[in-house]
Amino acid sequence: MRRIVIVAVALALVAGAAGFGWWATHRGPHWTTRSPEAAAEFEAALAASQKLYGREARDHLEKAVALDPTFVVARALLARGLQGHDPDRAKALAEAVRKADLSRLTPRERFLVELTLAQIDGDEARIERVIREYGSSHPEDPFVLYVQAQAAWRRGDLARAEPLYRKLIEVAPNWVLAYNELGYMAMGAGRFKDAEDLFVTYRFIAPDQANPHDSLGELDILTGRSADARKELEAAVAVRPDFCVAYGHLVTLELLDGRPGAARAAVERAERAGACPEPLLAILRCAAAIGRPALEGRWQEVRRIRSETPCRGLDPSRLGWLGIAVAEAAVATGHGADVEEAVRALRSRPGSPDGLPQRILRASAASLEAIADAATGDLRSALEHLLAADRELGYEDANIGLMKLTNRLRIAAIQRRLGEEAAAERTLREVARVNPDLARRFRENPDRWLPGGLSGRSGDGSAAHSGAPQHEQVDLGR
Amino acid sequence: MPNRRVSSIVVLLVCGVLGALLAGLSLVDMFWPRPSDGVVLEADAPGRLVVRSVVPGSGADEAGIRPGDRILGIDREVLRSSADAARILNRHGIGDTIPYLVSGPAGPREVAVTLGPWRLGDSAYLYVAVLGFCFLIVGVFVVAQQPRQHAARLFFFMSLLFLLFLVCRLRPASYSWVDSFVLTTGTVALLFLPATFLHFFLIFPRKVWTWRTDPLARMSGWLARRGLLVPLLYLVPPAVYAASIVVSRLRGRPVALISGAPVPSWLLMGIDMAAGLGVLAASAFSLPDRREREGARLVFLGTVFGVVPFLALAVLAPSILRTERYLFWGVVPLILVPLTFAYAIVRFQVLHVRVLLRKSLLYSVVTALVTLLYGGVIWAVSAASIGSRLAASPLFPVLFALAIVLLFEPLRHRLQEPVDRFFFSEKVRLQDAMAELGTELNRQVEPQRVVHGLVERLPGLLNLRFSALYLLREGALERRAGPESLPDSLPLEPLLVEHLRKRDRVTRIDQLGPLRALSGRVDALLTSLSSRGVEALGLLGSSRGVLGLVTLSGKTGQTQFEPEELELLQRLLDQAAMGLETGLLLEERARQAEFGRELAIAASIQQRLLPPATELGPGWRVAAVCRPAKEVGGDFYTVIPAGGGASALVYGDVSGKSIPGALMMMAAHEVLHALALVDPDPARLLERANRRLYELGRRSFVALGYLGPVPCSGTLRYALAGQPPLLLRRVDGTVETLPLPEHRLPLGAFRTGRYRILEVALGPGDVVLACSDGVLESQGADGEMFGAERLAEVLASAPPEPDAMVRAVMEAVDRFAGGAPAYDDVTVVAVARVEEAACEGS
Repeated sequence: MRRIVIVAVALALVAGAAGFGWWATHRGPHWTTRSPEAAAEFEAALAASQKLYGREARDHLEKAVALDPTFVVARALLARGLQGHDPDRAKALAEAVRKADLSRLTPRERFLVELTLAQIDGDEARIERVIREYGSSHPEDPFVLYVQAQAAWRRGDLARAEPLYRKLIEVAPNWVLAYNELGYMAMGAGRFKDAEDLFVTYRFIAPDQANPHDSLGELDILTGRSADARKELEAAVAVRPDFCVAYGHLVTLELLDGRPGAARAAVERAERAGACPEPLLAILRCAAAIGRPALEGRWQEVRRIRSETPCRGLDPSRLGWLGIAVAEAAVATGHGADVEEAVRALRSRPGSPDGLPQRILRASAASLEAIADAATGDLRSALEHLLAADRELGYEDANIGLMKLTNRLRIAAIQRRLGEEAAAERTLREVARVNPDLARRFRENPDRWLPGGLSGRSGDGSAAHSGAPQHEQVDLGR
Repeated sequence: MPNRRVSSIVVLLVCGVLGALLAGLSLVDMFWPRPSDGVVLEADAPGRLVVRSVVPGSGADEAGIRPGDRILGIDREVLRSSADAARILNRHGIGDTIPYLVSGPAGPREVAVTLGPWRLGDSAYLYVAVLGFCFLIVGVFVVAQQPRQHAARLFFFMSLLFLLFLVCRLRPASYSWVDSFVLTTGTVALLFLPATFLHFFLIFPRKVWTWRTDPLARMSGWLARRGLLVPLLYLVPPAVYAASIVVSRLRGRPVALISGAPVPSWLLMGIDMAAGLGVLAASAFSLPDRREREGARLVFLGTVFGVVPFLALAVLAPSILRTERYLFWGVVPLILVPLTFAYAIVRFQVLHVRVLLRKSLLYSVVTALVTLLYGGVIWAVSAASIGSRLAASPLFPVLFALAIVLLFEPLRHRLQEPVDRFFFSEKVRLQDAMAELGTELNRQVEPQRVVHGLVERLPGLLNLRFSALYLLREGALERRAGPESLPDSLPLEPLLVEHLRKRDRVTRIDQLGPLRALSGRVDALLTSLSSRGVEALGLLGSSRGVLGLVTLSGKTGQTQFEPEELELLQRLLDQAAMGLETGLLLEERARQAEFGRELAIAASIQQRLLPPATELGPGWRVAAVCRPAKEVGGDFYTVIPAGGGASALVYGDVSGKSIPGALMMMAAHEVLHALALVDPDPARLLERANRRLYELGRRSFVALGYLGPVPCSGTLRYALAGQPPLLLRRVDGTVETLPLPEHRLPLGAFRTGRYRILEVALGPGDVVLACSDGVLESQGADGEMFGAERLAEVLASAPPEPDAMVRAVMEAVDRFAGGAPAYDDVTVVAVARVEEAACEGS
C-alpha cells in the first residue's frame, strides 16, 4: 500500500512538474486567430504603436486582417487607427467587430475590443466601466494597466498614474511608453536622476525611435548638459527628420548656449524637413531671433525684434519661457500696459492653444504680474507673484522647467534687492542643483534678472539698485 | 539484510547518483564554451542581475562592466530575470556584439558587449569541484565497504552534501538555465550540511552517549533513544530558513543572504559546526580506544584547518566584504578534509574500513614521484648552470650521471620506509604481534598457556568476537576452551580434516561450499558452526597427526578475513600446535610417571601380602616365590588356617594383569583368609570362595591350588582349581605327576563349583612342586614354551631342598626365556616332607 502511495505521489509530482513546465513555456499573449502569421503581424503592430509609429502600426494591422479576416481584435484596433485617416473604412470595420462573436475570444481580447469600440464611440463612461471591470479581474494585465495609467496621467492624477506605470513595467518590462511617461513624471517632480534612468532605458529599448532621444535631450536642456542635449536631439532628428518637437528643443538649446545662428539653422532644418506646421515654425523663428537678446536683457532689441518679422503679431505667451522675457522687455521699455493686457488675457483664457494645463496659464499670468509689480517698484508683491508662479510650475518639460528656473533667477534677484541674501543664495542653490549653467549665468549678470529690468530702466541691462526696504526672507519650497 | 536497510541504502545510492549528475552538469555548464559576455552574477541577489565579477578580457570587461553594476537589459530588452538573459544570449553566437543596459554608480548606461567563448568556471572552481568529487569518492568507498553501518551511510550522505555545496553553491552564478535549480540545490545542501556534520560526529567514531556522561552527551542519548535526534537536527534548519523568509516578508524588507542563506540560518549552521567540532575534539582526546582516538584526532585537525579558512575567506569575505581576492586561498585548505578522512581510513581503519593497498603500487608511485623530483632537480641544475664554468667542463655530465646513479636508488628505498610506516604500520604491527604470539606459544610447555593464547589473546589481535579450541580425544574433537554456545564436541570428519590439511591455511567456512556438497555430515557440521557465529576453521596438527581444531568468529567490524591474515593465522596455529603437542606429551609423561609411582606402591603392598615365612607345621618345609610379570601381578600365595591348628598353603593366579589383576588378587587373598577362618575345610572353603569371587569379578577368575598337610601324618591334601598339575619328586629323584581332581574350574568362573580334595602320602625327602601356568607357558626366544616335561627334568635335577629347588626352577625358566620380559606372572611353590611328624601322644 505504501509503495502505491509513493508511486502515486511521484507520478503526481512528475505530472505537476510537466504541467508547470508546459504552462511556463506556453504562457504568453494568446490571440484568437488561426493564422500564426497574422498573430505575428499583430504583435508587430503593437510594438509599432509602442514606438508611436502609427502608420507602421496600421500597416501591420492591415496585414494581420488580410491574413485572417476573422481576427477580431486586429480589426478593432485597425478601426481605431483608421479613424483619422479613413473614417468610412473605420466605421465599417467597427460595425463588423460589433457583430462578431466575442465569446470565443480570450478575456484580454474581449477587453481590448470593448475598450476600442468605446473609444471609437467616445463613450467615456463605457470606457471607464470596461477598464474597471477588466482591471478588477486582471489587475496585472499590462494592457489594462496601461490604459488605467494613461487615464490617470491625462487626468493629471500623477499620484495614481505613477504606481500604475511602475506596476506596468514590472509586469511588462519592455512596455516602452511607460518609461517615457514615468520619465516625465519623475522630471516633473524634480527627480532628474530617475528621469534620466527611465529615459535611458527607454532609449535602450527603442533606440530607433526619435522620442526617447528627444526626451533625454529635453532633460539635458533642463539640467544644463548642452553637449549631451545636442547629441540626443541630433539623434532624434536623425531618426525622424520630421520630428518637430526635437527641432523646437534644438532651438531652445542653441539659444541657451548663446548660439542664435545655430538656433536659426535648426529652424531652417525643420522648415526643409517639413517637420513642423507653419504656426510652429513661426514661433520657432521668433524664438530664434528674440532668444539671445532676451537672455542677455537687451530689452530695446527685444522690443524691436518683437515688432518685426518673424515675431510681429505673435502672442508672446506662445513663446513659453521666453514670453516672460518679452514682458520684461515691455516694462523695461515703458510698455507696461502690454504686460497688463497680457495678464488679463491669460487670466481669462479657458485654455492654452498648446494644450497647457490651467496651472501653467496661471503661472504665466503670475509671472507677468510679477513683472508688472516690479516695474512699479513693488518688489514684495512681485516676489509674491513669482513665488505663486513657482508653486504652480514643475519641470514637466523643458519649456515649463525653464520658465520655473528663470523665474527663480528673478526671485533670487528680488530677494537680493530686498536684502534677503541668504534666501537669494538658497534660491540660487536650488537653481544650480537643477541647472548649474543658469546659476552661473545669474552670477555673471545678476541684475539682468531683476524683473522688468529694474537694474536699469534704460533697458541696457546694466545693474541698478532700487533701494527697496528689507523684508522678511522667503524660502522656496522646491 | 533487513528490507528497510536495503531500501535506505538504495535511496542513498540514488541520491548519490543524482547528486553526482547534478554536480557534473554544473561542472560541464561552467566549462562548456558558449557565447558568453563574461559576467559572473551575484548569487545572493535573487531577482536582480548584479555583477559579482567579470572575466578578464571578456566582452563585458572590454565594455567597462564592473562588479556591482546591475544588468538591466540585453539586446534592446529589459530583463526580469537571468532566464530572460539566457534566452536572449542564446539567440546569438560567439563574436556578436549586442547592446547592454548597465546601471552603475553614475546611473544607467548603454554599452556594447561582444560575446566570446568564455567559460565562467575558473581554476578555483575547478579545484573546488575536484575536491567535492574526491570527497564523494571517499564517501562511496566507505559506504561500499560498510553498507550496514549507520555511520558509514551518514558519512556518505555528508560527502554528498559537501559535493553539492562545493560544486553547486560555489559556482559562479550565470544566466544559464542550470543556475536556477543547481544553486537552489547547493543552498539546500548548505542548510543541511552542518546538521549532518554534527550528526556524524555524534556517532563517529562511536556514539558519544555510550562513552561520555556529560549532560550534552546524555541529552543526545536521550533524544536518540526516543527517535528525536534526527528530526531535531534536520527539521530545524529548513524551519529557520523559512521563518527568516517569512519574517522578512512581513517586515517588507528583502532577505539579506550570505551565499544563499539568511543570517539566522548561518547562526544555526555555526552552532551545529561548533558543536560538531566540539564533539570531535572530545573524541580526539578522550576516547578510550587508542586507535579510534588517533583517527578522530586526525579528522579533527583536517576539519579545523580545512573548513575554518574556507568559511572565513571563501564564504564570508565575498559576501560581507564583497571581495573575492581571498577566495582561492580559502578553498585551497579544503583539500585537507578528504585527505585526512582518507588517511584516517587507511591508517586507523576508521568506520571499520580496511583499505588494501598494494605495496607494489605504492612503491611504483614513490618511484614515479622520485623520478619526477629527480627530473625537476636535473632540469633546475641544468638551467642554473647554463653558461657557467661547471657546465662547460667535460666532467660535468659524468659527475651528473654519477650523482643520479648513486643517489637515486638509495633515495627511493629510503622513501619506501616511511611509506611502509604510514600505510602499512597496522599490518606490520599485526604481523609482528602474530609472530610474537606464535613464538611464545611455540615455547610453551604448559598446554593451558597455549590454550589461553589461542582462545584469549588471538581474538584481541584480530578483533574477533571469539575463538575456540577443540582437541582430539578418542576420535572426536572435544571443546577444550571457548564460548559455551559452541558444541561441546565435534565429530572428526576426515574429509574436512584432509581438506584443511591440504590447504594448509585457516579457511573461511563460506569457502567450503564444495565440501558441503560432497558430504552431508560436513554440511551439517559447518551449518551448526556457522549458526553459532563461527566463520573460519584452522587445523592444529603436526607430522604425527591432528591435534585439534580452532574455530574463529567473524571480526567485530564486519570486515572479512584477508588472505594474509589467514596465512598468518595458519602459521600461528602451526607454532601453537608444536607448543601444544609438547605440552600434551609432557602432561602424558607426568601422568605416566604418577601412574608408575602408584604401581610401585601397589607392588609393594602386594609383596607385603605374601607371607614373609612359610610354615606348614612340623615336618614340613615350604619354599615359595611369586614374581609378577609387571609391577603388579595376579599371582599370589598365602598360608591359611587348615583347621586343628594346621595351616595350608594356597597359591593363586588371577586372570587379568596389572591393576585389575592385582586388585582381584588382593580380593582373592582376603576372601580365602576370611573364609578359612570360618570353615577351614578345603572343599567347602573352595566352594564358598568360588561363590564369593564370582560375585566380585564377573569377568575375572582365580586359578587356585590348595596344599594342606594333614597334621601328624605324611599326607598332603591337595586341590587344584585351574592350576597346572602338581609334580612329586621322590626322595630317590624320580618325578611323577600327581593325579588331578575331577573338578578343576578356577574360582569365580561359575556361580557354583564343587571341588575334590585329593591326598598324597609323602615320605621324608619327598617334595611336591606346584607352579602357576606362567612357568609352563614361559616362552623361549623361538616361541617354544617351557612346558611340563622340561619342568619335570628341572625338578629331577634340582637340589632336594625346597628353597634350592624353587631357585633352580626359577633359574631354569629364566634361562629358557633368554632374558626376554616375562609375559605372565610366575609362581613356584615347593612343599617338602622333611621328617616324620612327631605328634603328641604317639
